[in-house]
Amino acid sequence: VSGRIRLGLVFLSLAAAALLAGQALWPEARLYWSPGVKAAVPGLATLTQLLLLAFGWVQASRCAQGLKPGNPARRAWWYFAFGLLGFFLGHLVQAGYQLILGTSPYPSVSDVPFLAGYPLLTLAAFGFVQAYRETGYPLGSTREHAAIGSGLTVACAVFGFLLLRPVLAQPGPLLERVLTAAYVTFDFVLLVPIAFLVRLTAPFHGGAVFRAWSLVLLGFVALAAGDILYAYFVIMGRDELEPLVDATYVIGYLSLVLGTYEQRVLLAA
Amino acid sequence: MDREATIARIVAVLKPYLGATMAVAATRTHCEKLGITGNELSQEQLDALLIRLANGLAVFVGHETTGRVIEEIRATLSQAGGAP
Repeated sequence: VSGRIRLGLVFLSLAAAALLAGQALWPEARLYWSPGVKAAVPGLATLTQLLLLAFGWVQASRCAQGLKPGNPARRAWWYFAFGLLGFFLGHLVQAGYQLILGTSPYPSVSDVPFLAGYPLLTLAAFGFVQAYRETGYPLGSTREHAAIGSGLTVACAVFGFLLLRPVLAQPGPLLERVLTAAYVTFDFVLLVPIAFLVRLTAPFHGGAVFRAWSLVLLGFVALAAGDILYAYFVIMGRDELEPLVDATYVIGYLSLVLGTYEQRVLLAA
Repeated sequence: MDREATIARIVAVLKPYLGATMAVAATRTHCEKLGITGNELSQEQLDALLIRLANGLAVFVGHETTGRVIEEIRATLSQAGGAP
């Protein structure tokens, strides 16, 4: 059953992402002339994201349950599952706004579960790094890890500062600017353990562990790219490109969910 | 048991999960840590090696899958006449 749901989600996600990207890049295309299509695309995007995150929550919970209580990766999988749940609740609240108001206000109550999701995903990513370093497998020396960590922290701080300064200097409500800056900050913090995990999982190339993790990590990077794109479009005043941000989120969630599914299958192999 | 032949059989079972590079690196690293350096591998050394590999593998693929992988390694070695 899970395999069929996965296949359906892949088709739905690719269709939603293609429609969203088309709306952003070719808004004059004949397809988007119809007011019905224009109105349906955001709804399809929200539905796809909700389905992906619900499936992801189930798969990540099963991954956590599939590990024994003493397993160092178990807690990280729970953090990951609850992080996805936070994003699910955020999109659910947004869907409620869309249904009742016909639009998604920003900021809104939906930002509470979204913002709660980021620290959980960050804890999960650091937890995976810690767990995998403890395996005793040759995954690099402590000195190498310290060098990577320092380099990444400096790089993320510099790029984060360069991007955040114009976001905070934008005209508009303070809360809106602070929230946009908060999302980007969370992304840059999250990217540090993610880059670590890329280093740790790269030597598994060709194996089932690598297949699962490459998808999960690609998903994290796509989510960060979505938030950074959003901030960039705000700075450039290109609101019409926002569907491209949603397309990036859909692909990011899809990748996270597919990787989590692969991991769940691996645990039950 | 011949050390190199045993390592090759262990790596062959681990490869689908860990990939060729990590399967070789993990097995050889644990051999070094356990002081398995000679041409021969005793039953005790093999058991210790499999415990080390299993402990790490369980973090990635869970205890159930790890148990099956270790069973498969033992069966492969047994068929090859290397170990029970």
